[in-house]
Amino acid sequence: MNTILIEKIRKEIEALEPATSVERIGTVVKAGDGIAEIDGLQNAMMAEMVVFEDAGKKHLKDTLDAEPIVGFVLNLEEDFVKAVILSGADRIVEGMIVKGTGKTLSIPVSNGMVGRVVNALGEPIDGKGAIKEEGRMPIERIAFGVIERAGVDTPVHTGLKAVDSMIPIGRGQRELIIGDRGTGKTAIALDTIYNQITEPKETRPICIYVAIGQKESKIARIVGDLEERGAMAYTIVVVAGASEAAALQYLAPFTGATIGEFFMLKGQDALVVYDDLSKHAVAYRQMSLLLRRPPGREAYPGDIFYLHSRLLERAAKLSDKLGGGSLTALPIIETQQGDVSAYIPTNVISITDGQIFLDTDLFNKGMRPAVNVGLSVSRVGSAAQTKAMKKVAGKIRLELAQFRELEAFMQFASDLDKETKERIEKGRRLSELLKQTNGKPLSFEKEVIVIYAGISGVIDKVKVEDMHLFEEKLSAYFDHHASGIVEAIRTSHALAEDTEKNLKAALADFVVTHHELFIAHA
Amino acid sequence: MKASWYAEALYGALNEKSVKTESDSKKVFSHFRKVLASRGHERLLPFVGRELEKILVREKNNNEVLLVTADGKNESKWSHAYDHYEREGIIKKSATRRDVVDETIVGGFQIRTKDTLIDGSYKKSLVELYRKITN
Repeated sequence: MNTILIEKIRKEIEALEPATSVERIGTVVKAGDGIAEIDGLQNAMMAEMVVFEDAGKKHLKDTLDAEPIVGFVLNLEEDFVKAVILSGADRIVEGMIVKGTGKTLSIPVSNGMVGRVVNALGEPIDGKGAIKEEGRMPIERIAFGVIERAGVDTPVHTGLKAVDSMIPIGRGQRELIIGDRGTGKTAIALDTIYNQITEPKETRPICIYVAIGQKESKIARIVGDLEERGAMAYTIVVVAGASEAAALQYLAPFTGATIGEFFMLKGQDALVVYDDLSKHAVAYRQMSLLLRRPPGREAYPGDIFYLHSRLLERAAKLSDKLGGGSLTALPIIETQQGDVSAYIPTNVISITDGQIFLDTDLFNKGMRPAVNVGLSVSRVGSAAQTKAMKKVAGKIRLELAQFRELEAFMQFASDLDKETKERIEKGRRLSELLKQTNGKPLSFEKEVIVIYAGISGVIDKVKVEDMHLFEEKLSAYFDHHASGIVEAIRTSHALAEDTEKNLKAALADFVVTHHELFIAHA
Repeated sequence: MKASWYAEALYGALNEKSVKTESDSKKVFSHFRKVLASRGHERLLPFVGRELEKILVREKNNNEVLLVTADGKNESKWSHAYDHYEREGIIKKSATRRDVVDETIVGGFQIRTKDTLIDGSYKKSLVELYRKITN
């Protein structure tokens, strides 16, 4: 060991003047299921961090070796304080001393968190060493007010044609992803994260993926995929898996929001995915019932709406005065048998600025992503849509709405008039065009080109089953023969008159070059 | 009605300033029995007695202050600290002091009430130093 260091420590020990401190304490009178009932602890605050210490005679060495047991106050009662234990719940014994810290629960935040996997307390769990702390931020805070906010005006491109064209998401928006299990909710959120790699580095949002109550194997797979695709370079994963205590599952989304706010306050953009809030609500219900709070509908506590509203209200686009940063939230809700009128889904639908509804029937029919356009909506995103996308997307929504109306008559195809048949055929091709393979988001400019080809009638003579091939070849054609148009859309974010003219000409050339694709009869 | 509620009420009545002598206490108790009878809760009386015992133990504990030292020889030295905090009002004047020897605090003293810990132990200082060095 370094002799200089030993000497330094020796001097410090010699000069040690024991300072006396006066601390608020309480005593554990009951403990179980991760909840401790504490007698004493006067002037305890809501969400105050507390530290549990053994009241018995414990030698110095044992004290130094022991990991601290921490918790936070959640119930202030007439005679007792009830605290939720965050770590080491199995070591809690009756008679333990509980010290109040006088601080509300906070987590360490720093730039060093990017690329890391952390737990609900912001501590690294990926075995890559400690994260240098730049500061601490309370996990609960009042959301920004009206004056401090600005309008949502910049898009978050998900890379999914169906979403970016018809249900656009803006930076600072809260867009719910809702659907039954196995309908591709997480896939949409992950594609959005993957797609941010196409954004310029300076405007690329920091992505935070919060896994709540999920299987550890699924989380490991997600982290592996993010690493493989290079998305971890701008992503933070917050994990409170299924094996973690309910208290940690309850805290995880707030931790994600706090990390997001750290970047937002620095003027950067952040995107946070809460996967999923149904499990979060279940964890909070468990905690509330153990805290003996009165149960309400479906045994959820009365403040379950407030729990999610205060979390999602933290998503914001800040005014230029505050740096102009943003925090976009993509909460996920799992429905049971497509029932969107259940308690938690209706709550979160009413809180968010729109929802992407994923339909099991569409999924089973092979529609990927299985977005139900009729039930999906984005209330503020259209203001953030780029001019180019706005120009092409308006028509596709209308065409698809007409197709959905006529879809029921498809089985009587032989009795239909020519115009109706044509509409149905075009609708089928457009629906096919919006299909996308999982994990393959498309850049915004490519989306514009593909959708333009769809609405301009180029696809009318392509066989429905060839639509995927058509899209692949179109993409390759523009990469090799018309990259100037792609670049023009990317830089201007608009479809100017001359660009559109060039686009039309390129499409005409594509039809000639790939004539084998255009053999179907409308 | 819970026996503990009756016990709390009885304890409160017995601790009123007007209750000074044993005869006053007996008077309060006979009134209590009448109240219990009028409410038809006489059967709760044995349970009330048990609850009252618990309250007395709790109050005794609440009123007790531990002066913990590492060595019995230094008790008188740290008594000054106790007196200081008593004068400051952190320790109640009516509190009962109990001296405890606990060598694990290494040195110094600790004063423990129900909701306050005055920690002047060497153990605390050494733990703080350790955390400072290792973090």
